[in-house]
Amino acid sequence: MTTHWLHVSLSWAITALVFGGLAFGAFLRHRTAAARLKQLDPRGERDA
Amino acid sequence: MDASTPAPTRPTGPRPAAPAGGRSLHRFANPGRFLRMTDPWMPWLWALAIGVTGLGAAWALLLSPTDWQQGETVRIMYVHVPMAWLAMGGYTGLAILSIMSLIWRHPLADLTARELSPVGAAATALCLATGSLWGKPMWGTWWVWDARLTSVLVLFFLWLGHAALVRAFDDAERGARAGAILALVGIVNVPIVKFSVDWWNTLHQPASVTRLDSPGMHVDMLYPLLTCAIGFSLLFAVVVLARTRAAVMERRVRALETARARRLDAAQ
Repeated sequence: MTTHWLHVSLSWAITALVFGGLAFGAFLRHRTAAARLKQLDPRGERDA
Repeated sequence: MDASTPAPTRPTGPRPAAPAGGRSLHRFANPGRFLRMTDPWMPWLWALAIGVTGLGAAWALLLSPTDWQQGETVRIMYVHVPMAWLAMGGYTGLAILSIMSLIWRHPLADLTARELSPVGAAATALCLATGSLWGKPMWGTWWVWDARLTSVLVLFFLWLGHAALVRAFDDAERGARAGAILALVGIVNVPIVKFSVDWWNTLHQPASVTRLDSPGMHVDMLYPLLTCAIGFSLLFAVVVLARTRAAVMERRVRALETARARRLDAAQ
């Protein structure tokens, strides 16, 4: 792999990692909050 | 006051209608309604964002031509330029949310701004990092203190400052207000970033896509760049939306937990 391709690959890889991490973080937060809401207010699920 | 002058009385009759913009915005102020309205759209938005970004990535990495001067390194542009646009466009969005928060006290504007700033900081950090990865083989250095790079670094600190400030208060509303003021003060930096390459002599090249006369780029490179920009913008927006939805649910969990703790206290 040439230096040029190494830099190109690194650029795209860190972008994919950062956006993937943000998306996964949002997914985990949503799942945790939904599970806790289900415990606290089972009949309020229709709003959540 | 003259005796003949009638004493001022409170206005009677129906309450004056809110401005049309404020009224339609307040439809989304109900968190339950916001969750219900956005819920069916989320899988489609994720699929669209990932699909367009994937198409843009394949076009940029496999199909677009190499540059006669930059060689393969030109492929960094397809991620660096969208991140730069998102850093500036996202900050403009943050300023608009701040105005909505300060004028209308819109609760969803506060939450969205709070969830937007870490994503905006990430996009700006990616803009700086990919620019650095492009600069080393092209300029022979990772970093120079020219006006464009320095003003983008200031923008990154503004994003970080907003993210930290809104989380620094026990009272979320006070934090949101302080963050909104910081965002509005910081918006002055956005035109500085945009026009820094025209106002000062910089190592960073001047605008080539957003030039008013004609884009200084061949369509074989312009189209994949625009596809990547649309894809990353969708991804940015859907990540912020997903974070805001999670934040609305977390706030509801906190409210229910507080109510339950109070009930238990009262029962003891």
